[in-house]
Amino acid sequence: MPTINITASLQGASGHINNNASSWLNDARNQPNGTNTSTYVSSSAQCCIIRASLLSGRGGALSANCFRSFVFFDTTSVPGNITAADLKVYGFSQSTGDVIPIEATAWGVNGSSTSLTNSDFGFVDFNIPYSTGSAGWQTGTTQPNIFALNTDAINQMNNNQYLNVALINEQYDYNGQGMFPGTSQLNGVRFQDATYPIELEITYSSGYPNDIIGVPSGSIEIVAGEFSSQINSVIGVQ
Amino acid sequence: MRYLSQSLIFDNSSIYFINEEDKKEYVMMDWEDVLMKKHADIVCHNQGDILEIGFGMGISANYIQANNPKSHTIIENHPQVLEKAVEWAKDKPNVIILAGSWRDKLNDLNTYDGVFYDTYGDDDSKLFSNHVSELVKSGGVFSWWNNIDKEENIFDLSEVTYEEINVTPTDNSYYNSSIYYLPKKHF
Repeated sequence: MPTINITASLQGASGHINNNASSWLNDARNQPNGTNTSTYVSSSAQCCIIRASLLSGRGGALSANCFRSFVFFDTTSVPGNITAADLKVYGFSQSTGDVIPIEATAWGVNGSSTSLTNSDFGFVDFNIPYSTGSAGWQTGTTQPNIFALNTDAINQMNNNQYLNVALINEQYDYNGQGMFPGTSQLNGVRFQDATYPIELEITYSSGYPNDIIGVPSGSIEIVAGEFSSQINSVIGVQ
Repeated sequence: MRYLSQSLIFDNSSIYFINEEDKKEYVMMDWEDVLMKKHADIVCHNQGDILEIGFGMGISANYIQANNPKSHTIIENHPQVLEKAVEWAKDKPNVIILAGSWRDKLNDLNTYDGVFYDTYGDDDSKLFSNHVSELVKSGGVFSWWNNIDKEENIFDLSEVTYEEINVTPTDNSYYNSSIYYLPKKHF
């Protein structure tokens, strides 16, 4: 089946930092809004942008940090029904945690908002993972970190023509696990890197190969409620 | 522990290390001098036995010595800072240096007229409140570096009084408020 690569059109990160924390869960992970948010529109390698940490500083004060990376893909250009997809992310610098992609509703849900805001921090759904966790994190440029996306992600793309993803720490953020002081899991990401892009490699099934009543086959998405890719024949013509 | 594995850099005005984000993470700076003097004077209220947890730049230690206390016990766990503390103490007969964390050294401690807690990267800080009443003599005073810019304390101690002090911190990674709330707990 044919494949197509689509680069994330929107890329950013949002984190919550609390420098007078008692609990990682209450004071960072479960907070509705972020305190530090960035939208990346040009190349930016960030060492610690997927983060779960509870570190003691001066005078015994605890700093709780939770950072999530948000990426949005417009998949309207996929010329068929998506049957499989890999999310590819090049890491950078830090690799002390495992990462998992989950459903997000940042970026105005459908990508209508092109700037990430602090309120996007909480726009994640821990109940909808889009893959299994990373089991390690590559930080070099030899190869990306690859997530084989599940049916929830594929259905999202087929039904809505976009994929809205948060990349988060698996052990503490996704699992909602409490944390002892002195814990720190950091993962870096290369954003908006033309050479090492954050992208989807999408496998799709080609549509019905013939023109129908003057409409070119390439322009046909759905006929009588059936996706073009699922049509074997029209009025007996294969 | 993350802090103990850091390679510290000492300059004329600060102690810092380069953290995971390749940024300077300050441990202590000399803008705190006026605060260190106040903390030192508070715990040395009767020139008795003093326990200081964390040597840092030695600013508070010098002010404690200026009060001529009966004894001055210092606990320090970072190897680079410890080396400096040992050197500093060589000509001070009333000083005892204990290498390690306060938890490691609990059995080596006595009771004190004044206790000053000022650590960095102490993952056990919340537990210190369980022991402070065992360490401070009746009539003694406990004070600590308060990194919270309001009248609160990480130890959840009651009956703490705070003195508001105007400060102008050099830009740093731990305290940037214009008011410091110096805490004092009497026993």
